[in-house]
Amino acid sequence: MRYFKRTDLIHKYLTSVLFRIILLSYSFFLISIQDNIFDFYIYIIYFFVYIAIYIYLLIKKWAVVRTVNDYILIFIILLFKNIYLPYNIIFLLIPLFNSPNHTSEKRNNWFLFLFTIILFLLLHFKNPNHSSFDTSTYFTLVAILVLTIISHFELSRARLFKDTFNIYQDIDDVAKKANNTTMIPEIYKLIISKIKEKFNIDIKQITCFEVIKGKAKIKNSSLFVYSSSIDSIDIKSNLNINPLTTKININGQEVYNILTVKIDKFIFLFISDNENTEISIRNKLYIYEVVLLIFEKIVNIIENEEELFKQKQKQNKVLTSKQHYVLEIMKSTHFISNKLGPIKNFLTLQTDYDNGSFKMYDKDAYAEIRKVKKEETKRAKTSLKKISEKIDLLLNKDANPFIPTSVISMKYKAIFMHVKRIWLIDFSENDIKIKNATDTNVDIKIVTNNEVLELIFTDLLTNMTKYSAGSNVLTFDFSKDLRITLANKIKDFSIVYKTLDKTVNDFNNNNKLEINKRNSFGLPHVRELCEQLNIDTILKIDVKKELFITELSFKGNV
Amino acid sequence: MNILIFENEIVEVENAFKMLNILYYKSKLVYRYETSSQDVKVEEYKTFDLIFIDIDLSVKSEKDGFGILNDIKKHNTEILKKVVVLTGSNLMRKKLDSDGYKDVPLIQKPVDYKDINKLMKEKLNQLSKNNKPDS
Repeated sequence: MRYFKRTDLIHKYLTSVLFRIILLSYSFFLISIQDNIFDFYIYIIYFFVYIAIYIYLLIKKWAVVRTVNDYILIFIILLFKNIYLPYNIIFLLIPLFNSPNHTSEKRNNWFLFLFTIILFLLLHFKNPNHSSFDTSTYFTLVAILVLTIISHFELSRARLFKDTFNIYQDIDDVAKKANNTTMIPEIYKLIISKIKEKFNIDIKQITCFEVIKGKAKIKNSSLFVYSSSIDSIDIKSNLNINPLTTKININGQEVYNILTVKIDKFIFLFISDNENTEISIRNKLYIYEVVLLIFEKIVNIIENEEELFKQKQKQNKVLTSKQHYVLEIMKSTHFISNKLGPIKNFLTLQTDYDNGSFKMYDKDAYAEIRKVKKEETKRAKTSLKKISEKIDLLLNKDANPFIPTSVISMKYKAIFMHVKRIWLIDFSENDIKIKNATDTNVDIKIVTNNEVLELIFTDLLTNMTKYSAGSNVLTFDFSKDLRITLANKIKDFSIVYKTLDKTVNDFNNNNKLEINKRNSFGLPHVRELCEQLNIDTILKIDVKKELFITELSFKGNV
Repeated sequence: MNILIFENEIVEVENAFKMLNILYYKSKLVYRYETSSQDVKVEEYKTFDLIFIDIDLSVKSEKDGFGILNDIKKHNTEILKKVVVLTGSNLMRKKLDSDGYKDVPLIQKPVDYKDINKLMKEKLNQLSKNNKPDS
């Protein structure tokens, strides 16, 4: 909004300069084609004086005095000339025509009207041919008045837009300050204060209702609403601007609806405490026109917030199940710690027993030790069994929310867009190469999981940023089986080649998957995720070009 | 010597305490095992020479280990000197410290009789030092 206002102001200043150029050019034209009271050079000197004054007033930002300066120029040029000649009268009316471009905040058309009339009358009486009033005098006076009135209408419209823009700007300021809580009540309060400021109308609150199945349910409000009778009112579909005629009860108090704005399924009620609060039709239309734009914006905010809330809820559900799983793991470590007690005690006991540490004790104590040892052996076995059962439960893939169970059908082009978005975080679009992309191929569908895809490519591309020496290329081959290839130049190739070669061989070795998974987390984890989505993965090293290549082939087209 | 043990799963530690008694205390230790806080009145705590408290107690227990510690603190802070916390979670030390039980020792499960003996020796030495009259 501020940017828009600034642009408008710059435009007005440019127009102001242009207007003065036109004024001067027109002046030059008029003194060239007519007899003048002064010598030609005096006019030219005056032009420079006029320009100097204009620049001074522009710097001082004295807009009204600038207009006076213009009228002095017009007066001097038209002095002792026939004001009734079309090109002369047009010159006099130029400031009125230019009225919409005034930079002044206090633009006043009646001020222009007054100046034009005074100047016209002065020029009329100084006119050697028209000393008394005649038809053309009255006609010109009426024409000036009509022009001023038309200009005034335009001014009212401009003010409406200006006011709307000012409120919009304030709303933007409120929206910028907003944190996680909804900012809408603050916007309502702002509208209420603006209405009070401009029309001196007391509005108690603005409350928004959402119409669901013909019944209005409260959505938000400038004041907290804990009870309202509006949900029992049947909302008519044609309800707009005119207030509800039914009595409304909010928070146990009878209140009065003085204006209504309906946008889609949302109804905004302007509520007053006072039954006699009246708004004139003109003001009602004015307020309606101003707030309509703002409420359209509010409806967008409400809908966006709802969508965000839904997304957040969805994420929270996933997060909660993951949190439960992590808590379960924590609880299980506690359980295992407890169950390890008899095992640890048994092992210590057995070691001491084998070392003959108990031989020093008397017969009774020794018998007691043996009895305890026998008992602890049993308990250690029971503990081991319970620990095994617990571990089986933890390793059960169905219970692990980190392993995706839901899949969706995605087109190759959707996968491309998804991967491209991750690629563009760190790499360039110029390094994306596309092969065999036909209209049919890009629409081939595949069953996959978005989140896992994101994990796979985030992991791969993070590795790329860490270990690449540049020349990173992402290739999409939209053949029947979509093949995505990542290639990057290997940093310190001669040093890391051996280690990398072993990593590649281990990764590609299908007979060693479980060992790899256990001993490292990086690439084997990527491979595990790829397996879940039925994606074939192969790592390669191009020794000649010193490239590290990852190939992913998507299978199982539908 | 009377020892009170609050423990949810007595079988997990019982034999370690039995062995401790036979090997190091000539079976002179008298144990009382409880799974719920309400089974021992707060006034009874002073009759024990040492109190082992597991933080996680039976679901039937009105209070957990922290609840018992709070009761002891309210009733008689001196008894806290006889307390040892026995727990399976390594996160409890932080919570004990933040709740004002920095001086209460903690022994983490799994434990054997040697672990318990080591801690008991230290604890009893400490208690006997505290009980000695100033010279």
